[in-house]
Amino acid sequence: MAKTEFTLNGKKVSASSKEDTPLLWVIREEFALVGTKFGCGLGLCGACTMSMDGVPIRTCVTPVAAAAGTNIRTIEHLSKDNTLHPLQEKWIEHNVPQCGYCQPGQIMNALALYENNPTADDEAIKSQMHGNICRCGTYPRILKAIKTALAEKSVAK
Amino acid sequence: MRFFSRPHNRRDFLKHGAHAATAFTIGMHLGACKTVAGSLSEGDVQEFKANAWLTLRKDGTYEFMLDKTEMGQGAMTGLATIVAEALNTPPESLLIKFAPANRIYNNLDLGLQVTGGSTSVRTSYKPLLKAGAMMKHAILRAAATSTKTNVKDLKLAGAEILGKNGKKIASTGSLIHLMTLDGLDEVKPESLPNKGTYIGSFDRRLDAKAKVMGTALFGIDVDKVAGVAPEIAVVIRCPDLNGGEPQRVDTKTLEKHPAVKKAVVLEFGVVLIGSSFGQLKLAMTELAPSIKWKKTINKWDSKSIDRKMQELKDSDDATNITETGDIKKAASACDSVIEAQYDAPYLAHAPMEPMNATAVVAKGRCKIIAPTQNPGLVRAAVAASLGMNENDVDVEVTFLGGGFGRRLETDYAVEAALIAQAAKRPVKVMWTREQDMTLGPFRPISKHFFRGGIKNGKPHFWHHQLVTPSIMRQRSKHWVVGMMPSWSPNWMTISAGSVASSLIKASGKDSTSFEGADKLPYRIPHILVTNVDPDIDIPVCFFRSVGHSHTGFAVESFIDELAIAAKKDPYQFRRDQLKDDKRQLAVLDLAAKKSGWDSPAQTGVYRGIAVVYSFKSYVAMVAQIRKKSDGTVKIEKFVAAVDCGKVINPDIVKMQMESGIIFGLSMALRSEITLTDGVVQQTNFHQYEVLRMSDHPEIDIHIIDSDANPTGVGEPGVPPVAAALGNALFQATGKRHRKMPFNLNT
Repeated sequence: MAKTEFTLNGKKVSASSKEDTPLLWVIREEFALVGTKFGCGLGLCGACTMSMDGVPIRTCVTPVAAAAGTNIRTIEHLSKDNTLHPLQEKWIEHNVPQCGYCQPGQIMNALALYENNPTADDEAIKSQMHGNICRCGTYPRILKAIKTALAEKSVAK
Repeated sequence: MRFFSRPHNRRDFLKHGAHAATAFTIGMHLGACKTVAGSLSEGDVQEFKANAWLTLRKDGTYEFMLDKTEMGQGAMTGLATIVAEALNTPPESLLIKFAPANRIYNNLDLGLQVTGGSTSVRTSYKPLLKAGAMMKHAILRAAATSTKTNVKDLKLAGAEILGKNGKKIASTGSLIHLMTLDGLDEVKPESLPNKGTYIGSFDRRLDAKAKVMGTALFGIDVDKVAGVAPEIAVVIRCPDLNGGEPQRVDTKTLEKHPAVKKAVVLEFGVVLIGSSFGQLKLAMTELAPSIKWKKTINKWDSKSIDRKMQELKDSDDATNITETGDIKKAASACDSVIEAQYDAPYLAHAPMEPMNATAVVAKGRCKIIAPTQNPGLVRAAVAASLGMNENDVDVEVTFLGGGFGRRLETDYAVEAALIAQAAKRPVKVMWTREQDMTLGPFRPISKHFFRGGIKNGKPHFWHHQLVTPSIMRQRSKHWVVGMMPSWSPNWMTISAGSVASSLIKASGKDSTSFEGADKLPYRIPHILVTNVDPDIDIPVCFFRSVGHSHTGFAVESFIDELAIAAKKDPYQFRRDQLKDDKRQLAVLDLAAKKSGWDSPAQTGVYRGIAVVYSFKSYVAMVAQIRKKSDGTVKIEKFVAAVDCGKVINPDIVKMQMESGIIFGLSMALRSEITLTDGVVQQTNFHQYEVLRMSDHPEIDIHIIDSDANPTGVGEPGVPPVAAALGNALFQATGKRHRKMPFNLNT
């Protein structure tokens, strides 16, 4: 079976899963990183969001073959040695998570704003985050967490 | 949802004390998830177990056995905070474990080890204060013996014991060998403070860090059961809700598929087992068309259900729930009489984590790991379905990726057990979103037929006919299984279940159907409330705020209609008619005040108000909307006031109110389950829509400072939402929204 090579959280990896397997399941099942969640299987809820070359993607509908040669980052990559990413810190500060199941996907989607569009206003944030469902209704706090993270980033500059 | 209850045996505290053995549990500490093997054997001086909830380890760490499950509502943090207060130790310092299924942990209100009905803090604070007091007493007594001082002169501060001068005299962990259970059961707990060191002020969430790091373990993440990696199981199921069994399935052909290692045919479907859900899901799509199903008799569809329920208006089969005065005479004495019909649809719970469970069956025992609200019932139901005694079944729980009542059911766990038994291997059964959404059980559909009259500007009569399928008629036979004594033979349990079910059917009195409609808070002299259960066998079950999820909408909308008919301000009309419940009046007043009700709104801004008492908590809300020049409306803001008694964690109360409002807005504006030819039409989030980030209003929560005993917040935030919104929309547009979800385009 053809192998798919890509970079996963900074390391070169070679996936042996069949090429039509959604990337989500390759990461969860072959590489045993289960922080990224399964929500809908149709790219409708965002629970499976990872970063591919800096762009948030819905990995439940992305075949692993599409990851060949790319740089994939998952929620596990955001914190290092217990040091949290500023987004994660703000998520905790604002008590965002309730059940918590959708939050890795929410954070990985917000990461694109943090890295590429730190001056985003409320409307831009809402628009970016529109594809991520939270059934517990943590949206007001996600908005606050992203806003404060972006604000602190621009102050730090 | 208080249907059965069982008195708690105080002596049970001791039965599960120092020398009891416990099973493996999944533990978490300071946000990082890890598996902790707890092997407590007699005479082990590595730790002291004061009771079923608290164990002190030699390193001074307190292990807290959390007997409610954590599905986002904050029970983990709230209950840990109560224990932390009793032990004078920071909540973050506790090592929290999810309790395995064990009758010692039965919910005092519900007679089963279950998390639901917004009961966690309300039913747990006394036992937990007691558990903490027992541990504290055992520690201080040991310290007094060891230092030859008086217990009264000692103080417990986390892992340290302080003397009269406030200086440390010993570490708790060093005294474990001196600790005993003698007389602990007689220890008197402290009362719950209004504001303690942690209670009322600690405002963090203990599970937040694990949840933002992606390390919190959910059911779907389980990779080991009894030390073995489970295989993955998926089930091809009959799309017809009334479910036909699969027929003439050649498992050998199915096993030729590269993703399928083994195929098994069971009553509920065709099971495919393999190593990758990703591949099995693709295999299901390929193989499903080849499966034929036995024909079913009933083919419900939304049109026939609607017709059947509509015909039950004025039915002779209806049961009188509340009857005061004489509505017929009263109607003729009124200045004006109005009629209205309210409708609420079937709803899927749609938690973000689809149903799943992991099971292994070996050597006459079964072990289940599941994200469940109902470990006690899972244990009993799995035992019954495998023909085992409940003592042969171990149940562990994980974090729940949402519950909303769906995980009070046991189907996913029973399924996992039956598959593990049939396939003779440990399995993790995983549902697709489509299965999770289309198979139910659902929040019951409901119709509310109202007539009401105004006399001299006041409500004079109220006639409410409710038509809704009974949850308990269907569910009691399942629930009874877990409520029978553990020695009951299967035949006894099954017949008790049937008896319970027929009793409910015969009496017509399932309070989960009409809660919120039966006891009106308003002074109305003539009231008749009736209920009838249409004989529809679409599976239904508890849903966040249960009966209040539709009665809150119907009652608080129709009272608004009466206010308009009486030409009164809807807030003042409610205020004038609220009986002598000062707490209900206080939340109403606070929500009105904080929303600026009495000052004129800006041009284009409209408000609606609603107040609902549910699950022993009071919540009032004001919805504020803006009508734009093009006629469309924007939901700008929700102001809510809540009285849930003493507050354990103020920010969690706010979170749950926010959560209730957004959940309620999904119901008011988006979600609906309909059927055509026996098949649910909404398969995923593109058809079953829920509120998204860009739709949420500004939310402003106010908590009443209260000395009353603490009550729940997981559900009470839902019932007033749709009514407050509908009432605001009426003010803005003159159109009354009487059918959920609202259609804002007409």
